Amino acid sequence: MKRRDFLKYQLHGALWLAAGASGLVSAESLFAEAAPDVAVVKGAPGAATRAAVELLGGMKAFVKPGQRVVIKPNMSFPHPVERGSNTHPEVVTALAAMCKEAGASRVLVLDHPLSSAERCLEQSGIREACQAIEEDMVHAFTSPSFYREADIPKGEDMKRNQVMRDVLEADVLIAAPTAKSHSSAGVSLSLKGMMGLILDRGVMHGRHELDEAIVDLASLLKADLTVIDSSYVLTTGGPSGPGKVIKADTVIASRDMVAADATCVASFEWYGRTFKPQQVNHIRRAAERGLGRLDIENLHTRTLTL
Amino acid sequence: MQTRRAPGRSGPARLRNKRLRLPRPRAQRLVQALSLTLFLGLLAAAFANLASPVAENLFLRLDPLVALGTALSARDFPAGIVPGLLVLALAPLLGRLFCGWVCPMGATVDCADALLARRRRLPGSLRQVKYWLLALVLGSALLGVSLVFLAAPMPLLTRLWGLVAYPLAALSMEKALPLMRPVADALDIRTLLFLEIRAPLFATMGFVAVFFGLVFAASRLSPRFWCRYVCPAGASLALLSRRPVWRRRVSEKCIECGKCQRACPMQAIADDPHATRHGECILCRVCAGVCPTGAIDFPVSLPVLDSQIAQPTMAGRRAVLAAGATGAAGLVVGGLGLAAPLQAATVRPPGSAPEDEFLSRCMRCGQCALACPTNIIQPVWFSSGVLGVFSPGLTPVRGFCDPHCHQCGKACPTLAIRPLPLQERVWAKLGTAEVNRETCLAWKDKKKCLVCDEVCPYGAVELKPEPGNPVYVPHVDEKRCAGCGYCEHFCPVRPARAIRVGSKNQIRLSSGSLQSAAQATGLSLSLKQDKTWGIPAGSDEHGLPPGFSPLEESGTPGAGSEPLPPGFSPLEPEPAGGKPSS
Repeated sequence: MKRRDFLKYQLHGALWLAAGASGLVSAESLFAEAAPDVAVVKGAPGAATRAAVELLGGMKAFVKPGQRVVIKPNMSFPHPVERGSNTHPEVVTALAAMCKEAGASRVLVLDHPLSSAERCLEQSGIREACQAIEEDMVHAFTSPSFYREADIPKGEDMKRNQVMRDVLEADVLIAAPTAKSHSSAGVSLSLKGMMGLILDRGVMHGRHELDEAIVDLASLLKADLTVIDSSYVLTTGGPSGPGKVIKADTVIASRDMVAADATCVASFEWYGRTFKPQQVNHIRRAAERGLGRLDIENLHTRTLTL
Repeated sequence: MQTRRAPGRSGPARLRNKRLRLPRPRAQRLVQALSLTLFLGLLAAAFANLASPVAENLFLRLDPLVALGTALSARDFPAGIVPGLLVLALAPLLGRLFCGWVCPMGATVDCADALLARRRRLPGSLRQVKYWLLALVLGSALLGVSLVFLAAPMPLLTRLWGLVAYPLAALSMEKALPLMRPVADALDIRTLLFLEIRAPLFATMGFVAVFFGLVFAASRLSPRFWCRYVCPAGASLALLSRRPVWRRRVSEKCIECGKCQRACPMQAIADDPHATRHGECILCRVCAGVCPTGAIDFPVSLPVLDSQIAQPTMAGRRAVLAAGATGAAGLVVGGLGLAAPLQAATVRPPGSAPEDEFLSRCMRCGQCALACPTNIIQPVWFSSGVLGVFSPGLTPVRGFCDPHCHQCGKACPTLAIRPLPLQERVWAKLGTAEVNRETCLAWKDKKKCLVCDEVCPYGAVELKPEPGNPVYVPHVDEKRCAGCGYCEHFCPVRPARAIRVGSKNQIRLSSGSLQSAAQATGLSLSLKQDKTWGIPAGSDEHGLPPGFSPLEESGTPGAGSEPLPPGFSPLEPEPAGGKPSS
């Protein structure tokens, strides 16, 4: 890419950002227009989630009546939401409610915990919050019987793993990670978050090259919708925390996992500094391997403050 | 069950005799069945971590040998052993009622007998074995060494059901569940769809299975072989049951036909069928059931003069006891010699007493292991010496020790593991993790991993830059490490994990506060503290945190040495903004 093009694209994105942020465009006309590539909404987690998905065309654009949906939040640590290691319960409930409204036949909220499943579900607050929508929606599977061996056809390094059978059987996969740093992958967003849907993530560190394996896995578990909860951004000390948390009250949504992750990387500080998305190795590799776009400056990003 | 078969064998007589008192054996069987059911139910509750209104370890507490042996070896009377002492105290009144009516080991043996039992004449002197065992256990207990685990019935039975039968049942259920999945899925029965069955596995399962195979196979030699000849808990009750208040009586209607002698599962009826060896009688009243003339009943009678008390078959009991004690002493000394070095190398469950005291209290029942939700507690073989065999150790490969959980402390009736309040529990330092730099992915292969840091609940793993290594490497902060084993459990390196917990600097107390002891040695075992480290800015070779790479292209001289992947098309540096200053 030439320098001139780059600057042009930058300007292009900036204009869109300005249009959205200034509130010049009314909400109604926003929805009437073509859906943006990325929606960035500032506001209370639940409302921001709803607005972000609406900006992308509403949940009906992703979930058809009768379909089975799996939502993958971060809930594998027994920590409260303020620590930034788990997804905000209101983001999850907003997504689950929208899926039900869109006519989903079954909505499951699944993760593979790194600690006592019971305590993760309890402390994250996600199970209790989802009870209000439907009974028995949230599960943290540790038993191998919930996983099934799956090929990763587009895998370059990791070609097989055991994936949650409910994920393999789902029609729609929604990534709902929290925005957090990660002590080996740089950041842990939607791409990295897919490691919570497999049984043996150890091989991704040991046998495989982590960054490459993350992309391999995301090529199989490609989310139809990505909603990154950036209410509490854990900018250091991730993925478990404690670390520096920025209360950003933002939700970032996209059809494109890479674009959502890239936007998130560019939107906040990490380890006290700013980075370009392409500096995060696994995000760059994901874009290179065609999983999505990280040239956010060229993407149509709509921002909204509630 | 055997009690049913015995009358059955004398079929015609039984049917013709109107004065048969069948309800009595039935009452015994009913109580026995209820007792076994309660035992299994409580064990299931412990296994599934369900709250139970009755202490899950009730039956362990009822074992008289556990009570006696632990009181002697630990020189202590924890509340947990009081029921066992009560059973002992009641023996002069009720004889071996416990063995016949309550003991689930007896019930389990009866079940095996019902399938296998044969009657052979075994020498009466074989009965001495149980007294020898009792002498051995109590003799060594006097010396402070607990051999209760050798033959105390409740701990053994707990291991059979809790560490072998239930896990195998759970495993088969876990395997069977997917078969039901299509139905559950079609009907959206989520309880069934998402039912997760914990199927723990335990070391020494095979040994316990073989041991009980032998116990059950002994039914081929005689009914209740275990209770007659082996059980030292039964022996302790027998010693106190010379003349119980509730006992067998034979009236003058006895025609000395010998049916009762043949039917008695305990061989408690002497050559003269009028006489009873009360120390052997378990009050099952089978004899009364088979008696063709109704000469036998079980009245409550004062233990004054009674010609129907048979002389004990074990002549010279004192001599036997003395010999037993001496033998025990010798064996224990020998055992200690064998056991040397009696190392404290085993990582014990949180709240475990200091090693010597721990071994004097632990009866190897496995209750802590079966109650552990993560399966990290495993019976050990010889890692803590010969005399530490079957005691519980932590095996992080199987699970992690959740700092909020103390099911094991709740399970232990003899205070080998003290129950701790949560505040204290967090401060239980079980040992210290150590990184093996020869195998660690980050240290040796320079690969991104650092799962140990991710999972450590105490924030004890620090990532630090290492010269010449593009990735950060893990260091264990020993002041923050509680030895909980999360790191070892989740470490992806195989076959041996690259970070392992050893017993180094473990803190084990008989009493007092673990927190105070830990703080006194400068430890800081908190789950909520902030890490003082962050990824230090500019400390890797590019001045970047892990996971990030420099923006410049590798072709630029002087830029990062990490080669960019093929096909990468670099961006030119921006005039302002995003580029990190290093």
